Amino acid sequence: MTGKLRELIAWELQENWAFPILELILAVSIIQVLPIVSFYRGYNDVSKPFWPAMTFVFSISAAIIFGRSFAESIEKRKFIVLLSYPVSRVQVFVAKFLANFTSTFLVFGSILLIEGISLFMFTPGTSTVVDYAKDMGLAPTIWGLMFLSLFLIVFFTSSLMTILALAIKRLGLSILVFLTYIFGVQYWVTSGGNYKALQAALSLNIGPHAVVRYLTGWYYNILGIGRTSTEYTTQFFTATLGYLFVCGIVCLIVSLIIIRRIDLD
Amino acid sequence: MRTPVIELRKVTKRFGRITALDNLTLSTKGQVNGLIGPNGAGKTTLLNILLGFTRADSGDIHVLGFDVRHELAEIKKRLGVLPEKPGFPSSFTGQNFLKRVAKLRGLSSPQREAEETLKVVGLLEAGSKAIRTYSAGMYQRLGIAQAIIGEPELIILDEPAANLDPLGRMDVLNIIETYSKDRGLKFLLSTHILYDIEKVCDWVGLMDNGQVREEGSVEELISKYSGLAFSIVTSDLKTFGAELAKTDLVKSVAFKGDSIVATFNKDVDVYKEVMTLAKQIEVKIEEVRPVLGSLDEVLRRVMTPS
Repeated sequence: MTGKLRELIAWELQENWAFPILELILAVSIIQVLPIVSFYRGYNDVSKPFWPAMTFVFSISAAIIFGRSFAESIEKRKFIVLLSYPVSRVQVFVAKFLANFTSTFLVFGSILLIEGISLFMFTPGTSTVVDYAKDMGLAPTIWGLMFLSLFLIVFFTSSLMTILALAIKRLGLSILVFLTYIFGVQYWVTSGGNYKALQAALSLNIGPHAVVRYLTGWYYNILGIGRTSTEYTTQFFTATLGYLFVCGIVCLIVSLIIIRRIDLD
Repeated sequence: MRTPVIELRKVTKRFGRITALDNLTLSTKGQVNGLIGPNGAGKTTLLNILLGFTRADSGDIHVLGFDVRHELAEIKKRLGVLPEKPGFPSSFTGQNFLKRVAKLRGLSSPQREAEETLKVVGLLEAGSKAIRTYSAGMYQRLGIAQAIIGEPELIILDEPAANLDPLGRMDVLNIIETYSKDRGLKFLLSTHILYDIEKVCDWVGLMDNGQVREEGSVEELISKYSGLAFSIVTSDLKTFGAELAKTDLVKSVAFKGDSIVATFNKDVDVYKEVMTLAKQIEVKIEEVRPVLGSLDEVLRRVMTPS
Protein backbone atom coordinates (compact mmCIF):
# COMPACT_ATOMS: atom_id res chain seq x y z
CA MET A 1 0.00 0.00 0.00
CA THR A 2 1.44 3.36 -0.97
CA GLY A 3 2.06 6.11 1.57
CA LYS A 4 -0.57 8.33 0.00
CA LEU A 5 -3.23 5.61 0.06
CA ARG A 6 -2.44 4.96 3.72
CA GLU A 7 -2.70 8.66 4.45
CA LEU A 8 -6.01 8.91 2.60
CA ILE A 9 -7.39 5.95 4.56
CA ALA A 10 -6.32 7.57 7.83
CA TRP A 11 -7.94 10.84 6.67
CA GLU A 12 -11.18 9.04 5.82
CA LEU A 13 -11.31 7.12 9.09
CA GLN A 14 -10.73 10.27 11.12
CA GLU A 15 -13.33 12.23 9.17
CA ASN A 16 -16.10 9.71 8.57
CA TRP A 17 -15.90 7.72 11.79
CA ALA A 18 -15.54 10.70 14.08
CA PHE A 19 -17.75 10.94 17.16
CA PRO A 20 -20.60 10.04 17.33
CA ILE A 21 -20.97 7.75 14.28
CA LEU A 22 -19.01 4.75 15.59
CA GLU A 23 -20.42 5.09 19.10
CA LEU A 24 -23.99 5.27 17.78
CA ILE A 25 -23.64 2.21 15.56
CA LEU A 26 -22.09 0.19 18.38
CA ALA A 27 -24.74 1.26 20.89
CA VAL A 28 -27.68 0.53 18.59
CA SER A 29 -26.18 -2.80 17.49
CA ILE A 30 -25.59 -4.00 21.04
CA ILE A 31 -29.09 -2.95 22.08
CA GLN A 32 -30.45 -4.91 19.11
CA VAL A 33 -28.37 -8.01 19.66
CA LEU A 34 -28.26 -8.57 23.40
CA PRO A 35 -31.99 -9.32 23.88
CA ILE A 36 -31.65 -12.10 21.33
CA VAL A 37 -29.85 -14.13 23.93
CA SER A 38 -32.77 -13.74 26.36
CA PHE A 39 -35.72 -13.94 24.01
CA TYR A 40 -34.63 -16.52 21.49
CA ARG A 41 -33.36 -19.26 23.74
CA GLY A 42 -33.98 -22.61 22.28
CA TYR A 43 -34.21 -21.37 18.71
CA ASN A 44 -32.88 -24.09 16.51
CA ASP A 45 -31.13 -21.73 14.12
CA VAL A 46 -28.82 -19.17 15.64
CA SER A 47 -28.87 -17.07 12.50
CA LYS A 48 -32.60 -16.57 12.56
CA PRO A 49 -32.88 -14.00 15.37
CA PHE A 50 -29.61 -12.25 14.57
CA TRP A 51 -30.10 -11.25 10.97
CA PRO A 52 -33.61 -9.75 11.08
CA ALA A 53 -32.66 -7.87 14.23
CA MET A 54 -29.60 -6.45 12.54
CA THR A 55 -30.98 -5.83 9.04
CA PHE A 56 -32.16 -2.34 9.83
CA VAL A 57 -28.88 -1.45 11.56
CA PHE A 58 -26.85 -2.82 8.65
CA SER A 59 -28.84 -0.88 6.12
CA ILE A 60 -28.95 2.43 7.96
CA SER A 61 -25.26 2.20 8.85
CA ALA A 62 -24.16 1.43 5.29
CA ALA A 63 -26.38 4.22 4.01
CA ILE A 64 -25.00 6.78 6.45
CA ILE A 65 -21.34 5.75 6.25
CA PHE A 66 -21.06 5.43 2.47
CA GLY A 67 -23.54 8.23 1.82
CA ARG A 68 -21.47 10.61 3.94
CA SER A 69 -18.26 9.39 2.43
CA PHE A 70 -19.27 9.84 -1.20
CA ALA A 71 -22.52 11.78 -1.73
CA GLU A 72 -22.10 14.30 1.07
CA SER A 73 -18.45 14.65 0.28
CA ILE A 74 -19.33 15.69 -3.28
CA GLU A 75 -22.27 17.81 -2.14
CA LYS A 76 -20.22 19.72 0.45
CA ARG A 77 -17.21 20.05 -1.85
CA LYS A 78 -14.92 17.97 0.36
CA PHE A 79 -14.16 15.71 -2.57
CA ILE A 80 -12.69 18.49 -4.69
CA VAL A 81 -10.55 19.64 -1.78
CA LEU A 82 -9.05 16.15 -1.61
CA LEU A 83 -8.63 16.01 -5.37
CA SER A 84 -6.75 19.30 -5.37
CA TYR A 85 -3.86 17.50 -3.63
CA PRO A 86 -1.46 15.24 -5.52
CA VAL A 87 -3.74 12.20 -5.43
CA SER A 88 -5.81 10.58 -8.17
CA ARG A 89 -9.55 10.02 -8.23
CA VAL A 90 -9.00 6.26 -8.10
CA GLN A 91 -6.75 6.57 -5.04
CA VAL A 92 -9.38 8.62 -3.22
CA PHE A 93 -12.10 6.16 -4.19
CA VAL A 94 -10.13 3.09 -3.16
CA ALA A 95 -9.12 4.69 0.14
CA LYS A 96 -12.66 5.72 0.99
CA PHE A 97 -14.16 2.35 0.09
CA LEU A 98 -11.47 0.31 1.82
CA ALA A 99 -11.57 2.40 5.00
CA ASN A 100 -15.34 2.32 5.31
CA PHE A 101 -15.85 -1.27 4.21
CA THR A 102 -13.21 -2.63 6.55
CA SER A 103 -14.47 -0.56 9.47
CA THR A 104 -18.09 -1.55 8.87
CA PHE A 105 -17.19 -5.21 8.61
CA LEU A 106 -15.06 -5.05 11.76
CA VAL A 107 -17.81 -3.29 13.73
CA PHE A 108 -20.51 -5.77 12.73
CA GLY A 109 -18.09 -8.67 13.01
CA SER A 110 -17.52 -7.62 16.61
CA ILE A 111 -21.26 -7.54 17.18
CA LEU A 112 -21.61 -11.03 15.76
CA LEU A 113 -18.80 -12.12 18.01
CA ILE A 114 -20.53 -10.55 21.02
CA GLU A 115 -23.67 -12.47 20.17
CA GLY A 116 -21.73 -15.70 19.84
CA ILE A 117 -19.96 -15.18 23.17
CA SER A 118 -23.28 -14.30 24.83
CA LEU A 119 -24.94 -17.43 23.51
CA PHE A 120 -22.04 -19.54 24.67
CA MET A 121 -22.02 -17.94 28.12
CA PHE A 122 -25.70 -17.65 28.88
CA THR A 123 -27.46 -20.46 27.04
CA PRO A 124 -25.24 -23.49 27.39
CA GLY A 125 -28.10 -25.95 27.71
CA THR A 126 -30.19 -24.93 24.72
CA SER A 127 -30.23 -26.61 21.41
CA THR A 128 -28.97 -24.11 18.88
CA VAL A 129 -27.29 -24.73 15.61
CA VAL A 130 -24.05 -23.77 17.28
CA ASP A 131 -24.54 -26.29 20.05
CA TYR A 132 -25.47 -28.88 17.53
CA ALA A 133 -22.50 -28.05 15.45
CA LYS A 134 -20.32 -27.97 18.54
CA ASP A 135 -21.38 -31.48 19.35
CA MET A 136 -20.34 -32.50 15.92
CA GLY A 137 -17.14 -30.47 16.13
CA LEU A 138 -18.34 -28.09 13.47
CA ALA A 139 -18.70 -24.87 15.43
CA PRO A 140 -15.78 -23.11 13.74
CA THR A 141 -17.19 -23.91 10.32
CA ILE A 142 -20.65 -22.63 11.21
CA TRP A 143 -19.20 -19.42 12.63
CA GLY A 144 -17.04 -19.16 9.57
CA LEU A 145 -20.16 -19.30 7.44
CA MET A 146 -21.79 -16.68 9.62
CA PHE A 147 -18.86 -14.35 9.06
CA LEU A 148 -18.83 -15.16 5.35
CA SER A 149 -22.50 -14.18 5.22
CA LEU A 150 -21.74 -10.98 7.08
CA PHE A 151 -18.92 -10.23 4.69
CA LEU A 152 -21.15 -10.75 1.65
CA ILE A 153 -23.92 -8.59 3.05
CA VAL A 154 -21.63 -5.76 4.13
CA PHE A 155 -19.85 -5.93 0.78
CA PHE A 156 -23.11 -5.81 -1.16
CA THR A 157 -24.68 -2.97 0.85
CA SER A 158 -21.42 -1.00 0.73
CA SER A 159 -21.06 -1.35 -3.03
CA LEU A 160 -24.72 -0.58 -3.66
CA MET A 161 -24.68 2.56 -1.51
CA THR A 162 -21.41 3.66 -3.12
CA ILE A 163 -22.78 3.52 -6.64
CA LEU A 164 -26.01 5.27 -5.61
CA ALA A 165 -24.12 8.00 -3.76
CA LEU A 166 -21.85 8.64 -6.73
CA ALA A 167 -24.63 8.56 -9.29
CA ILE A 168 -27.06 10.73 -7.32
CA LYS A 169 -24.48 12.99 -5.61
CA ARG A 170 -27.04 13.97 -2.93
CA LEU A 171 -26.93 12.42 0.55
CA GLY A 172 -30.65 12.47 1.37
CA LEU A 173 -31.87 11.23 -1.97
CA SER A 174 -29.28 8.47 -2.26
CA ILE A 175 -30.18 7.16 1.22
CA LEU A 176 -33.87 7.16 0.30
CA VAL A 177 -33.28 5.23 -2.92
CA PHE A 178 -30.97 2.80 -1.13
CA LEU A 179 -33.40 2.01 1.69
CA THR A 180 -36.32 1.71 -0.70
CA TYR A 181 -34.38 -0.79 -2.75
CA ILE A 182 -32.97 -2.72 0.20
CA PHE A 183 -36.27 -3.22 1.97
CA GLY A 184 -38.10 -3.64 -1.27
CA VAL A 185 -40.91 -1.49 -2.56
CA GLN A 186 -43.21 -4.45 -2.00
CA TYR A 187 -42.34 -4.45 1.68
CA TRP A 188 -43.77 -0.99 2.13
CA VAL A 189 -46.96 -1.70 0.21
CA THR A 190 -47.64 -5.13 1.72
CA SER A 191 -51.02 -5.05 3.43
CA GLY A 192 -51.24 -8.53 4.84
CA GLY A 193 -48.92 -11.39 5.53
CA ASN A 194 -45.51 -11.85 4.02
CA TYR A 195 -46.61 -13.03 0.64
CA LYS A 196 -45.83 -9.81 -1.21
CA ALA A 197 -42.75 -9.20 0.85
CA LEU A 198 -41.38 -12.50 -0.32
CA GLN A 199 -41.71 -11.30 -3.87
CA ALA A 200 -39.06 -8.73 -3.03
CA ALA A 201 -36.70 -11.63 -3.09
CA LEU A 202 -33.75 -9.45 -3.88
CA SER A 203 -34.28 -7.26 -0.86
CA LEU A 204 -32.25 -7.50 2.30
CA ASN A 205 -35.46 -7.76 4.25
CA ILE A 206 -35.23 -11.48 3.74
CA GLY A 207 -31.82 -11.57 2.14
CA PRO A 208 -29.46 -11.85 5.11
CA HIS A 209 -31.34 -14.58 6.81
CA ALA A 210 -31.75 -16.38 3.54
CA VAL A 211 -28.05 -16.23 2.83
CA VAL A 212 -27.13 -17.80 6.14
CA ARG A 213 -29.91 -20.32 5.86
CA TYR A 214 -28.73 -21.36 2.45
CA LEU A 215 -25.14 -21.42 3.49
CA THR A 216 -25.79 -23.60 6.53
CA GLY A 217 -28.26 -25.73 4.60
CA TRP A 218 -25.71 -26.21 1.91
CA TYR A 219 -23.17 -27.22 4.48
CA TYR A 220 -25.53 -29.64 6.23
CA ASN A 221 -26.35 -31.07 2.89
CA ILE A 222 -22.72 -31.82 2.24
CA LEU A 223 -22.63 -33.55 5.60
CA GLY A 224 -25.56 -35.62 4.49
CA ILE A 225 -27.99 -34.60 7.21
CA GLY A 226 -31.06 -34.36 5.03
CA ARG A 227 -32.31 -31.67 2.57
CA THR A 228 -32.29 -32.01 -1.14
CA SER A 229 -29.04 -31.31 -2.76
CA THR A 230 -29.95 -29.42 -5.93
CA GLU A 231 -32.41 -27.07 -4.24
CA TYR A 232 -29.92 -25.78 -1.71
CA THR A 233 -26.98 -25.68 -4.03
CA THR A 234 -28.92 -23.58 -6.53
CA GLN A 235 -30.38 -21.33 -3.89
CA PHE A 236 -27.02 -20.92 -2.25
CA PHE A 237 -25.49 -19.93 -5.52
CA THR A 238 -28.31 -17.52 -6.39
CA ALA A 239 -28.52 -15.91 -2.99
CA THR A 240 -24.84 -15.50 -2.31
CA LEU A 241 -22.50 -15.63 -5.25
CA GLY A 242 -25.10 -14.92 -7.91
CA TYR A 243 -26.61 -11.96 -6.19
CA LEU A 244 -24.71 -10.42 -3.30
CA PHE A 245 -21.19 -11.09 -4.48
CA VAL A 246 -21.56 -10.57 -8.22
CA CYS A 247 -23.85 -7.55 -7.83
CA GLY A 248 -21.44 -6.11 -5.29
CA ILE A 249 -18.53 -6.52 -7.71
CA VAL A 250 -20.54 -5.04 -10.59
CA CYS A 251 -21.58 -2.05 -8.45
CA LEU A 252 -17.96 -1.51 -7.48
CA ILE A 253 -16.69 -1.61 -11.05
CA VAL A 254 -19.40 0.77 -12.26
CA SER A 255 -18.61 3.07 -9.31
CA LEU A 256 -14.97 3.13 -10.40
CA ILE A 257 -16.01 4.09 -13.91
CA ILE A 258 -18.29 6.83 -12.55
CA ILE A 259 -15.60 8.25 -10.28
CA ARG A 260 -13.18 8.50 -13.18
CA ARG A 261 -15.65 10.32 -15.41
CA ILE A 262 -17.84 12.31 -13.02
CA ASP A 263 -17.93 16.12 -13.30
CA LEU A 264 -17.25 17.68 -9.89
CA ASP A 265 -18.47 21.20 -10.49
CA MET B 1 10.86 32.52 -22.58
CA ARG B 2 8.71 32.10 -19.48
CA THR B 3 6.17 29.24 -19.65
CA PRO B 4 2.65 30.64 -19.33
CA VAL B 5 0.90 29.62 -16.12
CA ILE B 6 -2.06 28.53 -18.20
CA GLU B 7 -2.49 28.20 -21.92
CA LEU B 8 -5.80 27.34 -23.55
CA ARG B 9 -6.58 26.89 -27.21
CA LYS B 10 -10.14 26.75 -28.52
CA VAL B 11 -11.59 25.34 -25.31
CA THR B 12 -15.33 24.78 -25.22
CA LYS B 13 -17.46 23.51 -22.35
CA ARG B 14 -21.22 23.17 -22.44
CA PHE B 15 -23.67 22.24 -19.70
CA GLY B 16 -26.73 21.20 -21.64
CA ARG B 17 -27.78 24.24 -23.62
CA ILE B 18 -25.56 26.60 -21.67
CA THR B 19 -22.15 27.31 -23.12
CA ALA B 20 -19.88 28.00 -20.17
CA LEU B 21 -16.68 28.37 -22.21
CA ASP B 22 -16.98 29.35 -25.83
CA ASN B 23 -13.99 28.47 -27.99
CA LEU B 24 -11.75 30.13 -25.43
CA THR B 25 -8.15 30.85 -26.30
CA LEU B 26 -5.99 32.32 -23.57
CA SER B 27 -2.40 32.55 -22.42
CA THR B 28 -1.49 34.17 -19.13
CA LYS B 29 1.71 36.16 -19.07
CA GLY B 30 2.24 37.27 -15.50
CA GLN B 31 3.57 36.06 -12.18
CA VAL B 32 0.30 36.93 -10.45
CA ASN B 33 -2.54 36.47 -12.90
CA GLY B 34 -6.13 37.49 -12.31
CA LEU B 35 -9.43 36.54 -13.87
CA ILE B 36 -12.32 38.93 -13.38
CA GLY B 37 -15.80 39.04 -14.74
CA PRO B 38 -19.44 38.93 -13.71
CA ASN B 39 -21.21 35.86 -12.33
CA GLY B 40 -21.63 33.23 -15.02
CA ALA B 41 -18.68 34.56 -17.01
CA GLY B 42 -17.05 31.12 -16.90
CA LYS B 43 -14.24 31.78 -14.41
CA THR B 44 -14.99 28.93 -12.04
CA THR B 45 -15.69 26.53 -14.92
CA LEU B 46 -12.30 27.45 -16.31
CA LEU B 47 -10.59 26.77 -12.97
CA ASN B 48 -12.48 23.47 -12.60
CA ILE B 49 -11.21 22.40 -16.02
CA LEU B 50 -7.65 23.41 -15.18
CA LEU B 51 -7.80 21.28 -12.03
CA GLY B 52 -9.34 18.26 -13.72
CA PHE B 53 -12.60 18.53 -11.73
CA THR B 54 -14.51 18.96 -15.00
CA ARG B 55 -13.59 17.89 -18.51
CA ALA B 56 -13.69 20.28 -21.44
CA ASP B 57 -15.72 19.21 -24.46
CA SER B 58 -12.93 20.25 -26.81
CA GLY B 59 -9.69 22.20 -26.98
CA ASP B 60 -6.15 22.02 -25.61
CA ILE B 61 -5.36 22.97 -22.02
CA HIS B 62 -1.92 23.33 -20.51
CA VAL B 63 -0.99 24.28 -16.96
CA LEU B 64 2.69 25.11 -16.31
CA GLY B 65 3.38 23.53 -19.69
CA PHE B 66 1.71 20.20 -18.82
CA ASP B 67 -1.32 18.82 -20.66
CA VAL B 68 -4.30 18.67 -18.28
CA ARG B 69 -5.73 15.58 -19.97
CA HIS B 70 -2.61 13.44 -19.84
CA GLU B 71 -0.33 14.96 -17.22
CA LEU B 72 -2.71 15.94 -14.42
CA ALA B 73 -0.59 14.12 -11.82
CA GLU B 74 2.45 16.21 -12.78
CA ILE B 75 0.38 19.39 -12.53
CA LYS B 76 -1.01 18.48 -9.11
CA LYS B 77 2.49 17.97 -7.72
CA ARG B 78 3.18 21.63 -8.46
CA LEU B 79 -0.17 23.05 -7.45
CA GLY B 80 -1.85 24.57 -4.40
CA VAL B 81 -5.56 25.27 -4.70
CA LEU B 82 -8.23 27.13 -2.82
CA PRO B 83 -11.44 26.04 -4.56
CA GLU B 84 -14.69 27.97 -4.46
CA LYS B 85 -16.68 27.21 -1.26
CA PRO B 86 -14.28 24.49 -0.10
CA GLY B 87 -15.35 21.78 2.33
CA PHE B 88 -12.71 21.03 4.94
CA PRO B 89 -13.06 18.13 7.39
CA SER B 90 -14.87 19.78 10.28
CA SER B 91 -13.82 17.28 12.94
CA PHE B 92 -10.09 17.89 12.31
CA THR B 93 -8.19 20.59 14.13
CA GLY B 94 -6.62 23.21 11.88
CA GLN B 95 -3.15 21.91 12.67
CA ASN B 96 -4.05 18.27 12.16
CA PHE B 97 -5.68 19.12 8.84
CA LEU B 98 -2.61 20.96 7.56
CA LYS B 99 -0.36 18.18 8.79
CA ARG B 100 -2.34 15.67 6.77
CA VAL B 101 -2.25 17.96 3.73
CA ALA B 102 1.54 18.25 4.14
CA LYS B 103 1.81 14.46 4.23
CA LEU B 104 -0.28 14.13 1.06
CA ARG B 105 2.03 16.66 -0.57
CA GLY B 106 4.98 14.52 0.48
CA LEU B 107 6.63 17.26 2.57
CA SER B 108 9.49 16.14 4.78
CA SER B 109 8.42 17.83 8.04
CA PRO B 110 4.61 17.96 8.09
CA GLN B 111 4.36 19.18 11.67
CA ARG B 112 6.79 22.05 11.16
CA GLU B 113 5.26 23.01 7.81
CA ALA B 114 1.78 23.03 9.37
CA GLU B 115 2.86 25.28 12.22
CA GLU B 116 4.76 27.69 9.98
CA THR B 117 1.85 28.00 7.56
CA LEU B 118 -0.64 28.54 10.38
CA LYS B 119 1.62 31.34 11.56
CA VAL B 120 1.69 32.93 8.10
CA VAL B 121 -2.12 33.07 7.90
CA GLY B 122 -2.53 34.15 11.52
CA LEU B 123 -4.10 30.95 12.83
CA LEU B 124 -1.34 29.62 15.04
CA GLU B 125 -3.36 30.01 18.23
CA ALA B 126 -6.53 28.58 16.68
CA GLY B 127 -4.60 25.64 15.24
CA SER B 128 -5.53 23.34 18.09
CA LYS B 129 -9.26 23.99 17.74
CA ALA B 130 -11.65 21.92 15.63
CA ILE B 131 -12.36 23.41 12.22
CA ARG B 132 -16.09 23.31 12.96
CA THR B 133 -15.56 26.05 15.54
CA TYR B 134 -13.88 28.43 13.06
CA SER B 135 -15.54 31.65 11.90
CA ALA B 136 -16.01 32.24 8.16
CA GLY B 137 -12.89 34.39 8.07
CA MET B 138 -10.78 31.80 9.90
CA TYR B 139 -12.09 29.12 7.55
CA GLN B 140 -11.00 31.19 4.57
CA ARG B 141 -7.55 31.74 6.10
CA LEU B 142 -7.26 27.99 6.59
CA GLY B 143 -8.15 27.62 2.91
CA ILE B 144 -5.27 29.93 1.99
CA ALA B 145 -2.99 27.96 4.32
CA GLN B 146 -3.76 24.57 2.75
CA ALA B 147 -3.11 26.10 -0.68
CA ILE B 148 0.27 27.64 0.14
CA ILE B 149 1.67 24.92 2.42
CA GLY B 150 4.87 23.53 0.98
CA GLU B 151 5.14 26.51 -1.40
CA PRO B 152 3.90 24.87 -4.60
CA GLU B 153 5.02 26.36 -7.91
CA LEU B 154 1.52 27.59 -8.80
CA ILE B 155 -1.25 28.62 -6.43
CA ILE B 156 -4.80 28.88 -7.75
CA LEU B 157 -7.17 30.87 -5.55
CA ASP B 158 -10.88 31.11 -6.32
CA GLU B 159 -12.27 34.16 -4.53
CA PRO B 160 -9.41 34.32 -1.99
CA ALA B 161 -10.84 37.29 -0.11
CA ALA B 162 -14.35 35.91 0.29
CA ASN B 163 -15.67 36.19 3.87
CA LEU B 164 -12.68 38.22 5.01
CA ASP B 165 -12.90 41.57 6.77
CA PRO B 166 -10.81 44.46 5.36
CA LEU B 167 -7.82 43.59 7.53
CA GLY B 168 -8.08 39.94 6.58
CA ARG B 169 -8.18 40.92 2.93
CA MET B 170 -5.08 43.02 3.30
CA ASP B 171 -3.35 40.09 4.99
CA VAL B 172 -4.22 37.78 2.09
CA LEU B 173 -3.01 40.31 -0.48
CA ASN B 174 0.21 40.73 1.49
CA ILE B 175 0.70 36.96 1.53
CA ILE B 176 0.25 36.85 -2.25
CA GLU B 177 2.72 39.70 -2.73
CA THR B 178 5.28 38.14 -0.40
CA TYR B 179 5.04 34.68 -1.92
CA SER B 180 5.19 35.97 -5.48
CA LYS B 181 7.91 38.59 -5.11
CA ASP B 182 10.16 37.05 -2.46
CA ARG B 183 9.70 33.38 -3.18
CA GLY B 184 8.90 33.44 -6.89
CA LEU B 185 5.60 31.53 -6.70
CA LYS B 186 3.04 32.00 -9.46
CA PHE B 187 -0.60 32.77 -8.79
CA LEU B 188 -3.87 32.56 -10.64
CA LEU B 189 -6.72 34.39 -8.93
CA SER B 190 -10.37 34.50 -9.75
CA THR B 191 -12.22 37.28 -7.97
CA HIS B 192 -15.00 39.83 -8.13
CA ILE B 193 -13.01 42.33 -6.10
CA LEU B 194 -11.28 44.60 -8.58
CA TYR B 195 -9.15 46.28 -5.95
CA ASP B 196 -7.48 42.94 -5.20
CA ILE B 197 -6.66 42.44 -8.87
CA GLU B 198 -5.31 45.99 -9.21
CA LYS B 199 -3.20 45.61 -6.10
CA VAL B 200 -1.47 42.31 -6.75
CA CYS B 201 -1.91 41.15 -10.36
CA ASP B 202 0.52 41.87 -13.15
CA TRP B 203 -1.71 40.24 -15.78
CA VAL B 204 -5.46 40.24 -15.94
CA GLY B 205 -8.10 38.61 -18.14
CA LEU B 206 -11.60 40.05 -18.32
CA MET B 207 -14.10 37.23 -18.87
CA ASP B 208 -17.68 37.46 -20.05
CA ASN B 209 -20.01 34.85 -21.53
CA GLY B 210 -17.34 32.18 -21.62
CA GLN B 211 -14.82 34.29 -23.48
CA VAL B 212 -11.90 36.53 -22.59
CA ARG B 213 -12.92 39.99 -23.76
CA GLU B 214 -9.66 41.72 -22.87
CA GLU B 215 -6.30 40.75 -21.45
CA GLY B 216 -3.06 42.40 -20.51
CA SER B 217 -1.39 44.15 -17.61
CA VAL B 218 -3.59 46.30 -15.39
CA GLU B 219 -1.83 49.46 -16.62
CA GLU B 220 -2.30 48.50 -20.27
CA LEU B 221 -6.00 47.92 -19.85
CA ILE B 222 -6.59 51.06 -17.86
CA SER B 223 -4.72 53.28 -20.29
CA LYS B 224 -6.48 51.61 -23.22
CA TYR B 225 -9.93 52.25 -21.85
CA SER B 226 -9.50 55.52 -20.05
CA GLY B 227 -7.00 57.10 -22.40
CA LEU B 228 -9.03 60.14 -23.50
CA ALA B 229 -8.38 62.24 -20.40
CA PHE B 230 -4.96 63.88 -20.15
CA SER B 231 -3.21 65.94 -17.52
CA ILE B 232 -1.15 68.79 -19.00
CA VAL B 233 1.36 71.02 -17.22
CA THR B 234 2.60 74.15 -19.03
CA SER B 235 4.52 77.35 -18.34
CA ASP B 236 1.27 79.33 -18.71
CA LEU B 237 -1.69 77.25 -17.66
CA LYS B 238 -4.33 79.94 -18.06
CA THR B 239 -3.48 80.88 -21.66
CA PHE B 240 -2.98 77.32 -22.81
CA GLY B 241 -6.23 76.16 -21.19
CA ALA B 242 -8.21 78.97 -22.77
CA GLU B 243 -6.75 78.37 -26.24
CA LEU B 244 -7.23 74.61 -25.97
CA ALA B 245 -10.88 75.04 -25.03
CA LYS B 246 -11.45 77.08 -28.21
CA THR B 247 -10.34 74.21 -30.48
CA ASP B 248 -12.51 71.29 -31.60
CA LEU B 249 -9.94 68.88 -30.18
CA VAL B 250 -11.46 68.65 -26.72
CA LYS B 251 -14.75 67.91 -25.03
CA SER B 252 -13.83 69.68 -21.82
CA VAL B 253 -11.00 71.53 -20.11
CA ALA B 254 -10.68 71.89 -16.34
CA PHE B 255 -8.01 73.43 -14.11
CA LYS B 256 -6.81 71.19 -11.30
CA GLY B 257 -4.08 72.64 -9.09
CA ASP B 258 -1.02 73.29 -11.24
CA SER B 259 -2.30 71.30 -14.21
CA ILE B 260 -5.05 71.20 -16.81
CA VAL B 261 -7.20 68.10 -17.22
CA ALA B 262 -8.55 67.94 -20.74
CA THR B 263 -10.79 65.27 -22.21
CA PHE B 264 -9.98 64.91 -25.89
CA ASN B 265 -12.24 63.78 -28.65
CA LYS B 266 -11.79 60.32 -30.08
CA ASP B 267 -9.10 59.82 -32.74
CA VAL B 268 -7.19 62.93 -31.74
CA ASP B 269 -3.43 62.52 -31.76
CA VAL B 270 -3.12 64.15 -28.35
CA TYR B 271 0.66 64.56 -28.07
CA LYS B 272 1.03 65.99 -31.59
CA GLU B 273 -1.87 68.44 -31.28
CA VAL B 274 -0.81 69.65 -27.82
CA MET B 275 2.72 70.33 -29.03
CA THR B 276 1.45 72.12 -32.15
CA LEU B 277 -0.86 74.37 -30.14
CA ALA B 278 1.85 75.13 -27.59
CA LYS B 279 4.22 76.15 -30.37
CA GLN B 280 1.57 78.42 -31.92
CA ILE B 281 0.87 80.32 -28.68
CA GLU B 282 4.47 80.07 -27.51
CA VAL B 283 3.82 78.18 -24.29
CA LYS B 284 6.27 75.64 -22.95
CA ILE B 285 4.87 72.14 -22.33
CA GLU B 286 6.29 70.55 -19.19
CA GLU B 287 4.23 67.37 -18.99
CA VAL B 288 1.49 65.50 -20.87
CA ARG B 289 0.23 62.23 -19.42
CA PRO B 290 -2.97 60.19 -19.55
CA VAL B 291 -5.17 60.35 -16.49
CA LEU B 292 -5.56 56.74 -15.48
CA GLY B 293 -8.96 55.55 -14.40
CA SER B 294 -9.57 52.28 -12.58
CA LEU B 295 -10.08 48.67 -13.54
CA ASP B 296 -13.66 49.16 -12.48
CA GLU B 297 -14.06 51.64 -15.31
CA VAL B 298 -12.40 49.25 -17.76
CA LEU B 299 -14.62 46.38 -16.73
CA ARG B 300 -17.73 48.52 -17.13
CA ARG B 301 -16.73 49.55 -20.60
CA VAL B 302 -15.63 46.10 -21.73
CA MET B 303 -18.74 44.36 -20.44
CA THR B 304 -21.14 46.97 -21.85
CA PRO B 305 -19.56 48.04 -25.10
CA SER B 306 -20.97 51.30 -26.46
